[in-house]
Amino acid sequence: MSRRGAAAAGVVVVVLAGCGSKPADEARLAWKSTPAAFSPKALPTDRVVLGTVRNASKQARLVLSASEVHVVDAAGRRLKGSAQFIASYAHGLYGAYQKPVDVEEPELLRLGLKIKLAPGRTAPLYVSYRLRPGLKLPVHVDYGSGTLPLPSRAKTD
Amino acid sequence: MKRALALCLLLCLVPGVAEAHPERPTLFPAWAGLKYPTYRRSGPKIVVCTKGSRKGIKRQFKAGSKERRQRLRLLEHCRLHEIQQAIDAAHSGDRILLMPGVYKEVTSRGVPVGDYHSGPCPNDYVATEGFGNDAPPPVGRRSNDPAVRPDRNLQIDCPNAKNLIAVIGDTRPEPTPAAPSVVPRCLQLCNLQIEGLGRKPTDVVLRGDRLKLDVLRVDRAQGVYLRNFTVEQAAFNGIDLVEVNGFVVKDVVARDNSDYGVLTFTSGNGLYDRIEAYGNGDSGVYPGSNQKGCDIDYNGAYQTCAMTGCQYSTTELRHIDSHDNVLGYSGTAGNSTYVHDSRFHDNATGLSTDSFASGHPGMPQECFRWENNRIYSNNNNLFTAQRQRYCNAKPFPIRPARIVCPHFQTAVGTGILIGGGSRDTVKRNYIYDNWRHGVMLIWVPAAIRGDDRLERQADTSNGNRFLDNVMGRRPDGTPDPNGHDFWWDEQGVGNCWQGNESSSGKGRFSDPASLPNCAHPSTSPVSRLDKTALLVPCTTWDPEKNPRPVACDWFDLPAEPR
Repeated sequence: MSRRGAAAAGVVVVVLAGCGSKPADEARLAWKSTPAAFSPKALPTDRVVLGTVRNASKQARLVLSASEVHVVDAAGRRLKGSAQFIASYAHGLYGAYQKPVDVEEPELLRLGLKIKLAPGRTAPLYVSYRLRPGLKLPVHVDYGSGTLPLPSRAKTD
Repeated sequence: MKRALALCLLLCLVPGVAEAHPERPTLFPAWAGLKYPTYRRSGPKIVVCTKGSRKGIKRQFKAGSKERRQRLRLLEHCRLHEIQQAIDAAHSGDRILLMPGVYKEVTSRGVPVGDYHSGPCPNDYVATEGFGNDAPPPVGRRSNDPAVRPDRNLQIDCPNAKNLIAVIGDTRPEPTPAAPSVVPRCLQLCNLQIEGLGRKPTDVVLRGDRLKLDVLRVDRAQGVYLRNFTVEQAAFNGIDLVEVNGFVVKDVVARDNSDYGVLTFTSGNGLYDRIEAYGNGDSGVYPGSNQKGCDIDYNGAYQTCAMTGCQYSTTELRHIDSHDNVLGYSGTAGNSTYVHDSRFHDNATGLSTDSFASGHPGMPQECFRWENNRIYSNNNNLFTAQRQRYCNAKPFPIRPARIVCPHFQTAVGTGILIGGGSRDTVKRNYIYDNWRHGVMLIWVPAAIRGDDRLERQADTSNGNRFLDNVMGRRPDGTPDPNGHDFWWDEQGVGNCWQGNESSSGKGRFSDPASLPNCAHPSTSPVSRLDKTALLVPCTTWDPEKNPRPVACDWFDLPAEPR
């Protein structure tokens, strides 16, 4: 499997019922508007980007796992960080050492660890990443079957 | 602009309909006013003792003293050596008197803890969501370790599988444990009094085996009075009261439990009094999903005190000394608590209450009154890389008792953290030497607790009042600054700050620099995006997979403010 194919394994494209006779369009995300970028004063090389994404496809439903969303530099190298489809702080239901092997889907959805997006629907997305020497700009979000651009400047708190 | 962006994000929140909770589904019992059980010095009794009780009495009480004579006389009546045996033999209204000693409950320890589909009551589990769906993946479960909790029927039929000591008050089978229909009613073991007869709480120790979830569980038994003993080393809670109407927990030490020292859940009409709680991996004390103190249909769907106002407190905590835990106090949906004349210190965070988790009855959190407490020096960083590595390598059953491992993330160096709460009052407290923030108030949109209805998204954090607190100064007058006295994400309608004195120094009173007073309280239904954004990465904390989330500074203790 190609690298892109392997990454895309985390993205499930579900063709809507009734569309069997037509080919599925590419499931893809787009920023609804320019996302905002911030940097904590205490962690000057860290960035947080918060925005709203939209399923820009006409027919394809997106099922995405946050663990498949990464920030990469222009050379395609992953940066340390995380992503979640969530717009404010939350914590999970289970204590750190008491999580079931398979967390229930509603909990995954609630915490934005997973998302199901119908065409045209939106969801919050945050990504965090750490700048490191030698990275090639610009950086962007890679979610397996596509990419999203990231702002080049961040506001410090 | 920032607020517009925040509003946009709010409106775009994804539906996440979850009713999940790691506790089993519960119902509030029927309440009848605020009545604590009263302490009884007489009445039917059962005496329990250990081999060391006689020696203990002689060591703890002076020769010739009335107390010693009394206890030695009682010791002559001792026929039982395990507390569970006494409970099994007891009737409602009995007093169970515990002579000095360490109670390990050998018989109970011999009952396997079991698990779903294995061990005692293998089918009496209920999942938070999706249980019973045995279809193969991707529709059904993918794991043999589903997210299940013991249900009501397990507590009735196999009380000592999960609990070292169990008091089960309602023995009626629950036909639909996933959505309980039987409103709790105490049918047996009501109004029990379980009391240690040592000189101090540490003279009678109820010691968990680090495998059983609870050391002492009281389940739907109303009017319980627990006094003068120590609970330790539970794999979840030292004392756990679930669906209990009326309780007192007094003169108790709760220490070295995996998660909670004393926890009450869907309970009320309760009193926590003179409790020392330390060494717990979540909170020292936890009055969560607490009865709402206003006239509403408490088991109805979404209910708040917005229309009635906060009418009365339903659980009182006084003379608490909670220290060296991850959280001194916490309470998801910790409604209508009255916490006063207590100390919360040397935790990672002193007190926290929130509306984060889904499935907790009584959401969203509201109506606490916290007054005349000392909340200080909550700078205990239990999230160091070294600690987290250690905790990952040593599971609770084989970990030394005194090592605390965090179960939930929190902002180290914080006195009070209100994560989604309304109509709460913080008044006349001394709050000092918390190096990050004295008090932190943030919004939690309803979607975070799994409620995606648009009209509810801003139902926290509104109408909170911070009044007449002394910030950054010890009671003896010595300045001892907080990082910021107050930190607020600037969301909420009706929040106000008034009469607070600060000795924390220039620029340390608040962020934002100016806070609304009670004549002109706050008006914004959404937060400042930059403030909210920098909290979000902390969501991803996981001691094994992500112990130091990028862009989250909660786990670095800030420098001491001077």
